[in-house]
Amino acid sequence: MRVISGAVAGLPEGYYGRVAHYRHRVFVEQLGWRLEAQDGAEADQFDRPDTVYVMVEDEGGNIAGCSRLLQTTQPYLLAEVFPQLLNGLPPPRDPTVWELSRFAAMDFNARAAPPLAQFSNSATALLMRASVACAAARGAQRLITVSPVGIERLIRRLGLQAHRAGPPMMIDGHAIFACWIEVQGTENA
Amino acid sequence: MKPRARRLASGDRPPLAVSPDGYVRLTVAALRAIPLTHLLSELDADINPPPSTTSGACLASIVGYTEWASQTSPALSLGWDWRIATSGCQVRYVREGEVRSNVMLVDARRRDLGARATEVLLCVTVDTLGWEQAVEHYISNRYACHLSNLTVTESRTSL
Repeated sequence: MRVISGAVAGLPEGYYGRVAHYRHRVFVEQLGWRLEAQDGAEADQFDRPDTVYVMVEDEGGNIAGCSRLLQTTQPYLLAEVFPQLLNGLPPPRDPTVWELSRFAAMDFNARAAPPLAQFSNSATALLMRASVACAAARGAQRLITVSPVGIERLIRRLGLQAHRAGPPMMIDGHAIFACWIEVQGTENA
Repeated sequence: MKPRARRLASGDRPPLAVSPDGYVRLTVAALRAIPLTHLLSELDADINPPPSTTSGACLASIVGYTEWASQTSPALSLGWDWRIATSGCQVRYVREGEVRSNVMLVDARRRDLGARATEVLLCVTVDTLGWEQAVEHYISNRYACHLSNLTVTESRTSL
């Protein structure tokens, strides 16, 4: 597997479109999230020129996972859409805090296991570590996520220092929460 | 669900607040005085399907997670994994692993006890909470159809 990361302008040609299609398969088709979608591609107002994408590609050239990193000094998902997940804390606006969102690692090419049975596969671990490292390289000391509650177990099993920002809330039938991840000192965990 | 909690006079407790790092800081005594309410429980979606037996029943390892919160503002949030342990005809819910939370416990001088010590003390708190019945009730109602088709013969973690 290999990791590819960067803003849209720095990605290999066609990769952003592949990420948008992969996200549609995961979040809209598999998980049933009600998200903006067009022509089988999922994207929202936070997919901008400064947005950083992290992808894991398998040996066959298929995307096996992706995530999205946003600076909190610019508009980001948690602050604009889900500030209630911060338990009363004002959304951070800090160059050392980045948001991790749209984290997904479903292997649609695995024969034996269904796509959802991918919680602890190698692509998931690689993607999480790569996302943390990518944010760290851009000055992040902490990440804040907006994710399904299950991601917290993954983060902690990988040895990353993390804690939730508040209780999960049911949003469109899904238990969503915000979680802090310490980057400093854990990016090589 | 009536969690066992000792009540302190409101004047004994400093007001709860969220720190900039996202933690809610309080002492063990303050934590145990705050009632926690069941929010939701789920079976793990990523467990492998149980294999069928010749009799048509299934061997199943049933695991999941549960989320609890206080009604305070800011809220305390605690979540943990559980499994169904069986012994003879007895079935019981057992906490599995650490407690995940937004809590940082502090000593009487408001100094952090640290993440590890907090986790240990939260486990002790959860184990005296009396959460099992609420989770069993919730899971039984939510997954009545699925659970009625399973014969629990063995418990093991699959995560």
